[in-house]
Amino acid sequence: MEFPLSVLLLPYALVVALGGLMLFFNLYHLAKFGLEGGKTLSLMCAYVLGFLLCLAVSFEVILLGDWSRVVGPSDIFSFVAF
Amino acid sequence: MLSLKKLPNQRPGETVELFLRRHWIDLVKIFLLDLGLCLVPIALYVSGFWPGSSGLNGSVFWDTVASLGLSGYLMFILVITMTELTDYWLDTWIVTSERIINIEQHGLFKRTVSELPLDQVQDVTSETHGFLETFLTYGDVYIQSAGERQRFQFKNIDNQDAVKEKIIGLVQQCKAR
Repeated sequence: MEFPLSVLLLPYALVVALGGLMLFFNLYHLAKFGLEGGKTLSLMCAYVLGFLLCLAVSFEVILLGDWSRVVGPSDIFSFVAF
Repeated sequence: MLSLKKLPNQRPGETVELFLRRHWIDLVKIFLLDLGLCLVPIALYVSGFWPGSSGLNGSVFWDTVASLGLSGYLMFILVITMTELTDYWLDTWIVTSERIINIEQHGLFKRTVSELPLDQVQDVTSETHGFLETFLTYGDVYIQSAGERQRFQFKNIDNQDAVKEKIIGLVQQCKAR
């Protein structure tokens, strides 16, 4: 049973999507219920910047990988002596 | 957004006397939590349980899982931080010349907003518990209304004694009118 490493990006994409959803919920709450003013807007900007920074770090990691490489049981269970 | 210049059901001549949030020590607690969470992968790496640090060296699969896992974990820390900060930011107490507005955010999807006219305030109490609260002068203020209504609690606010005195003064002014 072999598969390309890119399959691992699917659960990661799900995590990023959930993170984006939570970012949206937080921004929504601040926009709707936060106190009018620069501090609330700054906090919202900080959230967006933090999320983008997280994504940037992830992309740097992703760019280093060879995602077309195919892995199999010998790679997954490499800690077991075959 | 909430505007202090235009509160819901604002009465003629009503002015905002106090706008309160929780003490900054709660922000420190959030960031200490973040620090603790950030130290977990470092501890795993140092102790040899991290893929790539021992045993699984050279395994492309596990190196990839570790890299993506770390990225996902950072996202998780970010989400926790955002939610805690939003909870902190949206917990507010507004004391006007006419009423007290108690706004409490419980997580993301639960919010309580209560109002209490000043002329119904029966008792105002401030409490300080512990070393940090004593030296950083923060604590709780409890406001009891007439009747069976549950009392308002201002949690971890700065200068709780001064806030208590201010509210008592406002209550007396309101009742004297």
